Amino acid sequence: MRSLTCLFCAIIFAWLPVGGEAAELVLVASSFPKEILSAYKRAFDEQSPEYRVEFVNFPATNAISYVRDRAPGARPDVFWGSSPDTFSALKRHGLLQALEGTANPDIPPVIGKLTIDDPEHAYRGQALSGYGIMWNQRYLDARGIHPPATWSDLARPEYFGHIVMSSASRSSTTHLIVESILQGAGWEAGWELILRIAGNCATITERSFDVPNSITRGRFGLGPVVDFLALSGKYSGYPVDFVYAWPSVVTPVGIGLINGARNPEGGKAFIAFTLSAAGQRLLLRPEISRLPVLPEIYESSERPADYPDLFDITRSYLSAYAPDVSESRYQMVGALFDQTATFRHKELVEITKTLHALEARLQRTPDAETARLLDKVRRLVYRVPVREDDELLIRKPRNSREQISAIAVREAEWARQSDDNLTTARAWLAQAAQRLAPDREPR
Amino acid sequence: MNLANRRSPRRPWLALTILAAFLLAFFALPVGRMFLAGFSDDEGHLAGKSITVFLANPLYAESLFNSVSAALGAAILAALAALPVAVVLWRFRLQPPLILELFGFLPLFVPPFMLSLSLQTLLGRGGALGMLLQPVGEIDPAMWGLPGLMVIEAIHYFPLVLMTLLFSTAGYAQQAHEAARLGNSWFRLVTRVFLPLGLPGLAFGMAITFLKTLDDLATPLSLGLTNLLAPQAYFRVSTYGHMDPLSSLMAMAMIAISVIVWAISAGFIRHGATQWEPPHRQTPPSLTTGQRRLGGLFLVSIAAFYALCYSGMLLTSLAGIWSHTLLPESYVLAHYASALENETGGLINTLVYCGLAALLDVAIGLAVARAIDRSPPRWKKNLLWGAAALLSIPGVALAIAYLQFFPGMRLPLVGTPLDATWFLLPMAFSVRGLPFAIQAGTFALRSLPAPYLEAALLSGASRLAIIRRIILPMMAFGLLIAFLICFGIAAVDLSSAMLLIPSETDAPVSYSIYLHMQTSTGRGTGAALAVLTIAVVALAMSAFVLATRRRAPVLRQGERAAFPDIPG
Amino acid sequence: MAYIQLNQVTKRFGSVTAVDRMDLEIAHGECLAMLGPSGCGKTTTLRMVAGFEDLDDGEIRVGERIISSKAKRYYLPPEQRNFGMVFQAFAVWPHLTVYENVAFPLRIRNLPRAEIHARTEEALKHTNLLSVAQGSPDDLSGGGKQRVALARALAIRPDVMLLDEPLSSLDPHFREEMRFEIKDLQRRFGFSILYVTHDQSEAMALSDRILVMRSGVVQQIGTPLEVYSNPANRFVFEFIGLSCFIEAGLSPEGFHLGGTRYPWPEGATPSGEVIAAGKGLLAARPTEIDFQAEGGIRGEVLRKVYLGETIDYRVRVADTEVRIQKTRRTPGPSVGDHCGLRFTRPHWYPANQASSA
Repeated sequence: MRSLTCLFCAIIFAWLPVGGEAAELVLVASSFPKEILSAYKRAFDEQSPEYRVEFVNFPATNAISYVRDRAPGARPDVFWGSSPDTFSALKRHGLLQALEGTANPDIPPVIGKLTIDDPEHAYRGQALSGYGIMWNQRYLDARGIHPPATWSDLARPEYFGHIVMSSASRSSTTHLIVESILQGAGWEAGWELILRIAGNCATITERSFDVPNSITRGRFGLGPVVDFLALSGKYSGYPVDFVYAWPSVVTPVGIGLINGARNPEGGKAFIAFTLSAAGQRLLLRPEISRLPVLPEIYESSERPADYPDLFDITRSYLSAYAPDVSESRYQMVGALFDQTATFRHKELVEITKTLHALEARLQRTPDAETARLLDKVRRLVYRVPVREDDELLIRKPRNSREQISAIAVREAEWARQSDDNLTTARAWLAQAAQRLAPDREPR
Repeated sequence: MNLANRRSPRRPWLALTILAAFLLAFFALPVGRMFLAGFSDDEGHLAGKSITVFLANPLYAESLFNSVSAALGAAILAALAALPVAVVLWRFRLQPPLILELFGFLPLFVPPFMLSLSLQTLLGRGGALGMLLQPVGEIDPAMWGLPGLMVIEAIHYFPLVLMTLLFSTAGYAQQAHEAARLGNSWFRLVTRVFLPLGLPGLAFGMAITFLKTLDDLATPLSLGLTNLLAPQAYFRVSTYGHMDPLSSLMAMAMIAISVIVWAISAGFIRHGATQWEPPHRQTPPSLTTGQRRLGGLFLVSIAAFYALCYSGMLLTSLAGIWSHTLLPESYVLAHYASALENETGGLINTLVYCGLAALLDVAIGLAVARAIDRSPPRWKKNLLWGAAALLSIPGVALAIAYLQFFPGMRLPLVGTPLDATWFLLPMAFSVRGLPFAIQAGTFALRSLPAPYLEAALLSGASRLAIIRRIILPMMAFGLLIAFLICFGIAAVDLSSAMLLIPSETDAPVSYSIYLHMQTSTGRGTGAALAVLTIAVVALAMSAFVLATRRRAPVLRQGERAAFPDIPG
Repeated sequence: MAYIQLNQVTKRFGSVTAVDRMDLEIAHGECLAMLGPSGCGKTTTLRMVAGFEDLDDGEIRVGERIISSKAKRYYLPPEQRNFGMVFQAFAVWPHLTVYENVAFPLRIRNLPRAEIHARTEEALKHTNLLSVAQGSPDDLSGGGKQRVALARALAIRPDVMLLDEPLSSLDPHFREEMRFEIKDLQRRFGFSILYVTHDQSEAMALSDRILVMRSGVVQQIGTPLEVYSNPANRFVFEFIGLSCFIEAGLSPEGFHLGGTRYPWPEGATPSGEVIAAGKGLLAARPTEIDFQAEGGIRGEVLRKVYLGETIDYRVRVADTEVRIQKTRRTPGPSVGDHCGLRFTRPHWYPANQASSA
């Protein structure tokens, strides 16, 4: 009897913190890792006892469907994330409400070429994110590989099997990198590079955080990440380093109040806190390592010695990045990445490996015909199945079943096409292999 | 004494109505609606278009094939590993200590992705064995593709298959020994006695392995495997939202596969010769010290293998900096402190809805068990089958059905939409735990035969007094077991949790671990949390052993309570 | 005066009629045993009296008050009937001490503390449980547990005590002791007993009257002696005590066995109906058959077994085997001997009457 009573008591008491607390709940949707969220939760809850902040964590790529699928009044209060595209989309869908009275006057409206806040105050810049390549020094040293400097370096044969990246449909970081490559190099050439990098990848992870995670552990050598994830590892003592790679972007980390929030006042209080000096200083913690937008923080003594400099980073910003272009094809770029890279990763790796091997042999024994064959293979395998002006990419995605079915029909076409292409590519590769070493591998 | 003109002993209509309403609202209607959604267009007309699209994409055919082959492979591997071990234990009549037997049930209470992450730590290039053997070749399970998943699931579910196999054979070990002494060869005994006897247990264990592998979402994702039904459905729901007809189709395909597999294995289970009774504990009479030592060594080596498999998790939880070195550079306890400090909220939440789901399960399980107990034999069989068939509803499918069914519905009084609260989570957990709950409820009922209740009724006690002073104390033990089983099953149900949780702080511990384990700095905390979880489960099991030792007669039934009943 | 009264009480389970239009009256302070094979409806009857089962027809009264009635749609829940009940499975709650078990119903009734204590002590005293009152019933033997159940039933000072096979789970030597204890308690407290059993010796020893049931139908009600010495039919005859039956051809003058005609035994002529049927069953108790050297019904001794005080014979008469028991002090024939049999108290039943086997 007694044990049972205890059990029931335990269950009943377990309810109390959920149901019986007076503090008002502020629900923040975010794609950030737990360390950031729990640091802010602790600081904010302490500073404002009238509120209690909770987080919903999911990839920013799902933010729009997540918010839209919920009725006003049931939505999270705040959205906080690094992807400008997501904010642009949220704003366009009318899912953000104007922010009044949350601004910190010490934050400059423009840093370098970068506009920090949304002109219509639908969201504010809370920090800066730069994108680049992170690597594990020990891993590279053990294999005698040098760290890369640009995105296209990642397609080089020496990195084959050492790269880890996440899917553009699951990780807003990867999406932003993919989109910036597409915008910097052009649609076709951009995809070719992305697919060649994907072919060099050891694995494509489900969670964006798993990329820096596997690099810090030394499970894989290098990969594309957002700066703070690399820096937090570095300042926590791991043998990792990071480079802002070309053509990269620095984007403001946004924070905005969701239209239909349950607790708009609490949401504003949280936003104001993140922009305050106290909130900005949290960014410098080694396990967070983000770039604050409040310049005075960089002067503070808490900043590690080789912490990136605000001026250096914002100087490298390319004004070419167009969030509206990115946003209009947001879902489809993710879907294309999955269809061509994630779901066909095994085949892509196999062909890339053969290509690297044949290229190496080709350098020893040049052969024009083989070079032409390999070129054909590359053009076939690393080709995106859709043109940039395809209606799918231009039309804003709608959320009807009809629309989804239409996309699914196209996806099926791509998948079949890609299967055909892979078969052809394998045949050509076999030919090339025969041509290069007919005496060693007689058939 | 002339009291109200009360009519006849009350029939449990109310309870039955509530039960039916629960099953309707949280099982039949959502799943039914999902079926419709898979086959209809925007206007709600029936349309087969989505099927055509589904079949047209080679990716989905591949996913279907991969899912089935991974699940089948895991089941076969687990069986191949369990069979020889079971034969040896049977041959030498080695009875593993009770605690080891109970650990056979650990797979039900620990999610398999923990094993996957632990093995990746050990065998990946970043450290330990994987780094050591890097010059020889790649042993990271994430690089093996589908076989990696099969091996991990097989290792994970091996103890369960072994236990079910032992249960269905051990009753006859004694007779087999006498027969062997009379001159029958052991080969003949194994093929003629052991295998036929073991078939039901083997079929059951393999079916569970198959169903759980098919439904597993976190493990394939942790291995970077996406071309399987569960991850594909998960991706589609998270990219296109719950309107997506293809995810409904995938969910339905998973249900169909599960039902088929369950039906096939149920055939084997039914045709088995045994009564599905756990082994009778006899004193093994004639074991020499040598044999005993050998047996001990055998069991210890199996235990050691598992300890090794999970040592990656343990090392990570204790590691300070561990990057591309054989072993961690430093060891710290900070991760445990951080897990205890930051995750208590999550732990309490977990307690709340796994507890809620388990309470619901126990209540429903008891009601159904009582109904089954009292129903005529023909009905009894159907009810038992119905209950057992619930096993074959994958968590992913149920979650997708919920996502399609509940949007727009609001909680009464509060007015919050259902899908924005954690409310759906315990409901899904509870539907998934029901087959186990019904079995556990039957077990609990057994500890309160009718006369004990009638004696209390005659004493003039009110219903409430009877429940409080007679029913609860007498069934406390059975109820506690039922509660723990349902709680454990809910706590590892990551597949539904990943799709249904409205906020990260509402996640069961297993999902927190999953999230933590994939960040560079939270990794240690996640591992510490995992180690703590395993420790809690192990402690609960040991406590169970201690409690049952005092109640020897019901002990074996307690173990049996973990298995859904299979009508003969 | 009838205290408990059952009128046309009927209970059906699906298509099976468990109790069929039963009429029964039990006097105040009487002990009535219901005897019959399992499934005969005796426990169902008891449970209807207790209030655990609904009636499908008829009514039950206790004293002046109706406790269950189909026609009046009236049903008094068991807890308001003030009946004590003892179950075969003891049903002693293991999580309470002996004292708490006995006091439980009293506490439930919110009696004053002192009275609870007094009544519990009294019940415990009369069941010899005072010394173990604070212990757990799990530490008691089966007999001890049943005493606790009895004490618990006594404590509420019931009008009627319902005993459902209370002694069947006990060791044989406990059973006899308990019979007398129950009888003793009844004398002391004056309640009526409705006693369900399948053990005839228990029924004989305890009850004022015995009711024999078969397939939901009452076969006979009477004192133990009546039921034993004048069984109403073959079933009752066979069910109570040892019995042997010989099928014989009948004619108005006498009966035929294996081609031999015998005159009616002394004081035992079958009824005209049975004679008219031309065939009948001669029923006798094995102890009520004597050997005689000459005359009598002729048979051959097949087997002779010493059972201590008695000797058990098997004698073949025509093509039937007859069992005979004599004390060892009476000289008897040996195996293989031909002998004559004399039936001292035979009964005749129609040949087609149902048997209890």
